[in-house]
Amino acid sequence: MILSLAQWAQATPFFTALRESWYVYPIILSLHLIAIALFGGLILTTDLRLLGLVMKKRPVADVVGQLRGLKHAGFMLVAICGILMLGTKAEEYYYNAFFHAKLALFALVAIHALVFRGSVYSRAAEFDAAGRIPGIAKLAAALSLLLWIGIVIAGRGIGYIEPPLDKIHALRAPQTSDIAVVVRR
Amino acid sequence: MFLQLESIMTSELTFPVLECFHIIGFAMAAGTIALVDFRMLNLGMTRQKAADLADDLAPWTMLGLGLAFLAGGGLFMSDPDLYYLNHAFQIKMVLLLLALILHYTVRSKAVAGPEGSGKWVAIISLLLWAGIVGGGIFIGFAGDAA
Repeated sequence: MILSLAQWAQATPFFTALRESWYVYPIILSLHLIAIALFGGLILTTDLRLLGLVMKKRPVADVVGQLRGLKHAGFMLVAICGILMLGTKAEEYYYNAFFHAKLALFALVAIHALVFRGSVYSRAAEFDAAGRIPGIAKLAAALSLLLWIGIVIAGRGIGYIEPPLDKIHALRAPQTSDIAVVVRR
Repeated sequence: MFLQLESIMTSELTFPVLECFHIIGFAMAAGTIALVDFRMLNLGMTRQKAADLADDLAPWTMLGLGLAFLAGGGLFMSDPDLYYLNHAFQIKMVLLLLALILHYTVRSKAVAGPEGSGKWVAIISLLLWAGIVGGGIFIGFAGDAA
């Protein structure tokens, strides 16, 4: 079911055009990474503040609260670019172990949000009032950093797995990125 | 078996591992730089002064730049000729040089300057760092000139 959906998605004229253009795909990939830099910097600043490692003189609530909107905007941009790239090679992604790992890590990020949003991120003002950051907040920040670093690693890994050509049904035009991989090796 | 492991470490894993460090490093550097640029554009962190924010984040920007440089140098050393002749790489290096010069001259003055004065500097800084990331991506797609 998921496989036929993946085959259908990448066969649509939109994703076929994306796949066959030599420059549109790298532009989307560039935007994906630019947004990662942006979004990553915001996550890093939020988590380092909770760990007491940056902006120590600023209230935790100030830092966490002011970054929230920018973080959501950054995440939207990362996600849109990511979904566009997924669509162009959906069938390959279906078989890609690093993509599976990335999805699993996203599930853990969602669980992280469910567990810690109420107990940490929306209680930042209480930490300021108490004058100390509790262990659970530091745990949340450390786990968040580890999860996002894991997502970067899994994302980079996706490009290193050769698609199982015997299983791929959709026609796939040769791409300049394939040549780059061969040249690099 | 040890030999096998060693060959995997040197030939297959080194490049992607360096890539991951490079990505994490530049995300750290460009992300913290962009945060100060956003502040200068009044798009976020407006309860801090730009100068205070820049001071607070500077060690993390440096750490990120250092990581990106070291890992990037390693990637370059894997095949110097390929990179040296690659147009995307050449453009990336020029943009990087411009960004670093801007960062430590005009921009550091603008950060410390009066409120709202450094908007153009912030926009140029954001565009340069975005161009550097984009240039890095295009290295793999542009192919070598040889």
